[in-house]
Amino acid sequence: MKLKHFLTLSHVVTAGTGAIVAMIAALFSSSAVIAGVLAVGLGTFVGLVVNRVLASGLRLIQTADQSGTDAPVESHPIREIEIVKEHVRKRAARWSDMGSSARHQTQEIESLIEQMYAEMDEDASNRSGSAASQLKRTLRHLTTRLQSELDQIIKHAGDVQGNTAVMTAVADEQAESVNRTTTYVEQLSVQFDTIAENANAAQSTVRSGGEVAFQAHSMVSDHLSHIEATGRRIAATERKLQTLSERTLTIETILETITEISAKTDLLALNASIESLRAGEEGRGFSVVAEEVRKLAEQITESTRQVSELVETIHIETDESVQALSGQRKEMQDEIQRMTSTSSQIDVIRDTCRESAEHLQHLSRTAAQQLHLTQDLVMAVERISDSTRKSRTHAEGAGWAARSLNQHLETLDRTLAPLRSGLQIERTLNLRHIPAESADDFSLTDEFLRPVVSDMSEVH
Amino acid sequence: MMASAAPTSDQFCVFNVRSDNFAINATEVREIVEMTPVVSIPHSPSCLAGVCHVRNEFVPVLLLSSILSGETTDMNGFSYLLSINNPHGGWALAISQVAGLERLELAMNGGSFPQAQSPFVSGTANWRSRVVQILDVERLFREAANSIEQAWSSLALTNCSAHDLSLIGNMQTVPAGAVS
Repeated sequence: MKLKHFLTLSHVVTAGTGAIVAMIAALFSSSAVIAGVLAVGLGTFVGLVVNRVLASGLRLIQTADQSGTDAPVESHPIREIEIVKEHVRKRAARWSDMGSSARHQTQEIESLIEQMYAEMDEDASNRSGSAASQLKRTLRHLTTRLQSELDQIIKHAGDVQGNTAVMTAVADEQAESVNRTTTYVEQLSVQFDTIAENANAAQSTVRSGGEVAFQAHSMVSDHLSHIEATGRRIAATERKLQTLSERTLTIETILETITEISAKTDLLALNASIESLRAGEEGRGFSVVAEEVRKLAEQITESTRQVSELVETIHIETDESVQALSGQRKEMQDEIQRMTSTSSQIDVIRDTCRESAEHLQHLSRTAAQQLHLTQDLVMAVERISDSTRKSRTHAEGAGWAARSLNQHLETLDRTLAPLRSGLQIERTLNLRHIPAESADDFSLTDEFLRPVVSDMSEVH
Repeated sequence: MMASAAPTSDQFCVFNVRSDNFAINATEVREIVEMTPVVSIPHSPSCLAGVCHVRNEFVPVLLLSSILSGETTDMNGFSYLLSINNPHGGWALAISQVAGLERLELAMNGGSFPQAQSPFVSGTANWRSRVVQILDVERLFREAANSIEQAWSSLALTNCSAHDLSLIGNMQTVPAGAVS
């Protein structure tokens, strides 16, 4: 809306300038060309200045609105980086929109100035002195509006400068946050690196433990095989000794039979001796034989007794050996059970080592991936830091531009001061019924329109 | 059947009954056999253990301890039968062990040895530091026969003929095939 009003005012100023030129040409025919040039220059200057101030003010207002609504203070560094990145992107888009709008407005103002020049050239020779008064009114109205717009622009320029300072401070805070985030991420990277190294070391240790468990399992299996073979040999020996014990029983039975036969032989020899005694002299030889048989029976009985004692001793010792071997066989079976249990436990240890090694390998891979991601994150944060520094540079540039705009506005204000003074004099003369078509007013108008036109041309 | 008197010898058959050692002249011994089953006879005195079957003959078996001391004993501990030659028939003594034929010298004939005062002991001898009593087989047989006859006579058996009593009293050896 302001731009439309300004364009309307630009046309009005152009018309007024033409009228003033006509009036000056009517009053001072010799200097008509000079007056026309002054009028055209004044109009051009005023249009360009207003155009620039208006565009800058609009950008500053937009920037101020954006800066006043955002508060990028976040506790989490990553979140803060995301917010900063979003702000930078939005601000870049807004600055781009503002630049395109300013270019469009500048083109419109240029077209208006060209039209104003054309009208001024066309109307300079045709306007009559009656247009001078119309030009005065137009200039008065234009001056009033320019003053009002100038006040608004000055106000907005101050706001823009303040918001630029705020943007600079926020950019500093963002840079500090980015630096802090970078430090955190670098520490995190170092920790991930340490975790990966520790996981690799633990993995190698667990693998060594698994290999030792495997070797222990092999040794236990071999030992178990040897123990089982020894147990089988002991069982075979025990069976042989049991057979030997049974054989001694058989021998004892045979010895009893021999003893019985010996006793009967002895008894038979005794009866033979008795019979030979009864036979008298005829039985004396038979008595000798019977006595020898009896002695043999006695020797057999004695030998049988000794053999029986030996067999009894062998039987006792064999039984003791069988009992001892039976005890050793039971102990061997218990040992085999313990070894089997130990082998099973070693199997469990080996499986646990294998699973632990796999878990540690997965942990090492995960830590390496986290390390790579952290390094990428560091690079992204560094890019964000560069963007923040650029934003800060741009914000400082905007601040300097705002200060320059203030200077220009002050210059414009000082430039418009004589015009305001001239209009005040005209108002006083009107109050005193002095004709407004005095030569001083035109000289003042012409004097202060020229720099405005020149400024607008310079801005263009 | 009356037999002539057996010739004597200086060898004795030494045996023991439980813990007592005895000896009999070797010429009076028929033979020594292992113990065979002895069948007891009802209403017989304690000196008669019963009758056994030896070499196709029924032989009365006497218990020496009952004859010597009158005590009652059983057949446990007797492993052999000492068969005796007798003119009236064969009979046997139940003995524990047989030591063999030994030459013994009589240490006393009767004498002050307590058991030697028995009328059935003709003397004593020293054998391997032991005292051996020499038995008088004839007296021993007569005493046993008298005891048996008295015992059976007192029973007043009506269904026992005098011939049977005289037969048992004379201790005739009865062939196994003659007993119905």
